[in-house]
Amino acid sequence: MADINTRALDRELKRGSAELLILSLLDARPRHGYDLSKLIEIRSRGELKFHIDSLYPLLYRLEERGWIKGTWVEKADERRRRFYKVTPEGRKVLAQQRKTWAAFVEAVRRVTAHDNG
Amino acid sequence: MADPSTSSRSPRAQWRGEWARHVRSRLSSLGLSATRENEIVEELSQHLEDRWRELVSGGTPEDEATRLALAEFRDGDLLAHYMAPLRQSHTPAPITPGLPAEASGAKAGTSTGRVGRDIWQDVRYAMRFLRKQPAFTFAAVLTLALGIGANTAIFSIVNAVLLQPLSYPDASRLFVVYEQRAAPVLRARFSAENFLDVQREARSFDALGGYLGTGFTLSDRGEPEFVMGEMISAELLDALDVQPLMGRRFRPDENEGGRDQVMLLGYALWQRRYGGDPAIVGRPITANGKPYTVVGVMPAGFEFPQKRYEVWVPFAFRNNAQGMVNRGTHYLQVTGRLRSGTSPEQAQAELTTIARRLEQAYPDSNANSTMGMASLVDETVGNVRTALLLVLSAVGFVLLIACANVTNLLLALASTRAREVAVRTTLGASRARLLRQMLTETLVLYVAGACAGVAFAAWGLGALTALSPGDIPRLDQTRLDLTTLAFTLGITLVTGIISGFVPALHSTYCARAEQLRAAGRSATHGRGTRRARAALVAAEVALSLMLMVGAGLAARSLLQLERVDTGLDADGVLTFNVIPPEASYADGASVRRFHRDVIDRLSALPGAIAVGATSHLPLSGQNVENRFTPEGWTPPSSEQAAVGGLRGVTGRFFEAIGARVIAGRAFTDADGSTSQQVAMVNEEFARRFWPGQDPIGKRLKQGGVDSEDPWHIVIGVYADLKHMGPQAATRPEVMLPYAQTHDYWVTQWMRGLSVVARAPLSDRSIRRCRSSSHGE
Repeated sequence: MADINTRALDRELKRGSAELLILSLLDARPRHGYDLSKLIEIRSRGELKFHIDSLYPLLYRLEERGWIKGTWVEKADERRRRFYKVTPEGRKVLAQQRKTWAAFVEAVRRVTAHDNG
Repeated sequence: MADPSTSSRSPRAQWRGEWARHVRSRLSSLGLSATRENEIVEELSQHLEDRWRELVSGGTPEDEATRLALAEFRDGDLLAHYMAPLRQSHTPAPITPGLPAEASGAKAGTSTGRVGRDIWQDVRYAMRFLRKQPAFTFAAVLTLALGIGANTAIFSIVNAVLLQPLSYPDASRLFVVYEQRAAPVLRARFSAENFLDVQREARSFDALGGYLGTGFTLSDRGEPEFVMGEMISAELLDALDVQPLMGRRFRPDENEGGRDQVMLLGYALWQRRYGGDPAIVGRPITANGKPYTVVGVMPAGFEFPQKRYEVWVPFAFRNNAQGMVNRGTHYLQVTGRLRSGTSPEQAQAELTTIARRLEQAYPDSNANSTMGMASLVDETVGNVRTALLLVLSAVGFVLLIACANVTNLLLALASTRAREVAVRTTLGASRARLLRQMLTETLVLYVAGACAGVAFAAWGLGALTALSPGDIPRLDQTRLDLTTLAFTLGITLVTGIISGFVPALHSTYCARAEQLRAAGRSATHGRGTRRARAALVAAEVALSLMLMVGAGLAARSLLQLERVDTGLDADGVLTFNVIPPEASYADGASVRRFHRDVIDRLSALPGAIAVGATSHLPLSGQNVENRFTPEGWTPPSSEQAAVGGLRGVTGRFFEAIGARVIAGRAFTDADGSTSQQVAMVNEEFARRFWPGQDPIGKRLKQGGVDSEDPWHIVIGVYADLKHMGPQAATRPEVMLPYAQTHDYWVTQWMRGLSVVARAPLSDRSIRRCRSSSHGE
């Protein structure tokens, strides 16, 4: 992955839009950290990648805000893993962020379409 | 990372251990709780393991897979950087001192909020840092506590005694007015008639009140009690603008003989003796054997002219039974309230004009006499102002020395912190930010010192007040109030900033030098440190020297005071005042008998070595002066007269007080009213009026040459006794046997005597003697 994208993602991390990615993926079902990083990489077809040193601080931040909750889950013959799921409050935030993101994308599309037209 | 195949442990277990080590090393700066750190380490190690497995299963060689997995951690310390702002499960947020707030992960906010957070962060870091240096912190806080505490204590005294206005409305307009001999300048009290003239004529004052101290023996209930009181003119309370708590002020018509038996009580006396009786107004009280009616109670805190005065009665300016109202006897103190809009200079000019008119009208009594005035606050605290300001300067020096010490300690510490500061600088901390952090550390230290200092001051104030000889006005009003605490905060911040700035600046220089050294270049910060510390030591030595010189001078003065020959030997001497009530002892003979009886009874007590009495106790500041005619003395000019103190003594006074008779003999009981009129003079009297002559056998009389007073033969000369205090100059003095003192003096000015007993007498035996004397 290009270095420039990593930096862009970092900036996004700071701005908070990366929260939308995490909340969206956890909305479907609980997942652990590695699972989340793989999914983001796969679904973005390699365009987006979370490094370990930014992904986990983000998860902890969301947990602190009460939007997600992490739980240690143990399975037979496996080491225990920490799974995260969205809390009711996180769901509300997700709905709001989805709306805002859609509006933002639409606004950008309109602007760029206008420029091209 | 170690090759797993060489390990005897489970290879995967060892790998997990290695992942954990990598993660843990990146968390170490955060100061997490052990539980929280273990959880994060486990979770992130799992992540690295998952990534490694995935790479290996995809065909990546294990070593390459390890390198790629660890590449998840990018350069620098991003994990700690992103973790820093989190609360992390009840663990205090980590502080990255010296880094810009944004880099430390502080949430964006208003600039004020950010500054506030930064400062709070600095304070917390400073507290942690100081906790890690317990010996340094203890030494510095203790040093500062002493310096700041001493300043706080002394300032609170200065504040109460010098800075607080007197407790009268608009007290800056209150002035003491006095008569003054023009040449040589000698301040005197007012004579009653001169006072009445000034009171009538002066337009510069809203009100002028005269007053005269006296003693009262209250004998209306329970055990008789002696209290100090003032005879005042009704206008005094108008001038002070004070209303009684209960009842009323005196009316002008009560300044007249026959109408003057009314009394105002002090609050403390009312509480102590009358249990705060709300119905006290209108009640009769017996004072000095005469009936008085209480017309009011003064409010708590009314202490005029001093705290020990607890009773006020009108002075009889008209129909004075004792004939005290004349122009020649000066005994009235006068305080007035300057009229609003009138300057003290205008008032002084008016007083001078009035004095000149009186001088022309009454040349006999008022020749060479003028009038002056001084603010009441200066009169009240003037004596102690210089001393208090000196002490304040001394403790100021102590604080400066304490600061220099702490600065020195900080400088020593700064040298050891060069590397730490260099690392912070490398991480991007600006010099200003580092300076602020270090100044915060110093200020936290100073504030801790100030807190301990205030506690020290609170304790010290109690001790200082208790040790005070009791002659510092308003000392009992000393409090650690808001003004004092503001002063403490002020000196703490100012000295803290000054004291912290140099070491902080020095630290940043050291850091720069450290960086240069790391880069292989030479640095010379060691020389700078040495120079700064040497300068501080020099300053400290200089300050200490000044303080020691000051303390040495003060100690020498004290020693000199101790060594001053007061002319008496006060060891083992008891003294107290006795005033026979006027109602029971009206004439001179009965007053003399009363005192004779007291002395006889005390002398009969077992253990009494010698008992006597005097009208004016040495060292008490009590004094009365009179004009004398020493036989054979010719005044150098017609305006000069022989003036000296006059005392009446009885019993074995000289033996009791340890005074030395250096020529002739002391009085004995044989020197009675019908025997030869005798006198004793002090050395100063003999020296001044009979220089080079033997004073024994010379004669003197009271008043001028034409006086009709009888001649007294000088039978003895005694070593000068210090009357006005150990430092005061000795004045000529004459002692007469009490039995031969004129009735006028005995009934008016020497009614009360100070009994002096050289004996191990107990309070109880004295009280028994006093009760039986009253019973008669």
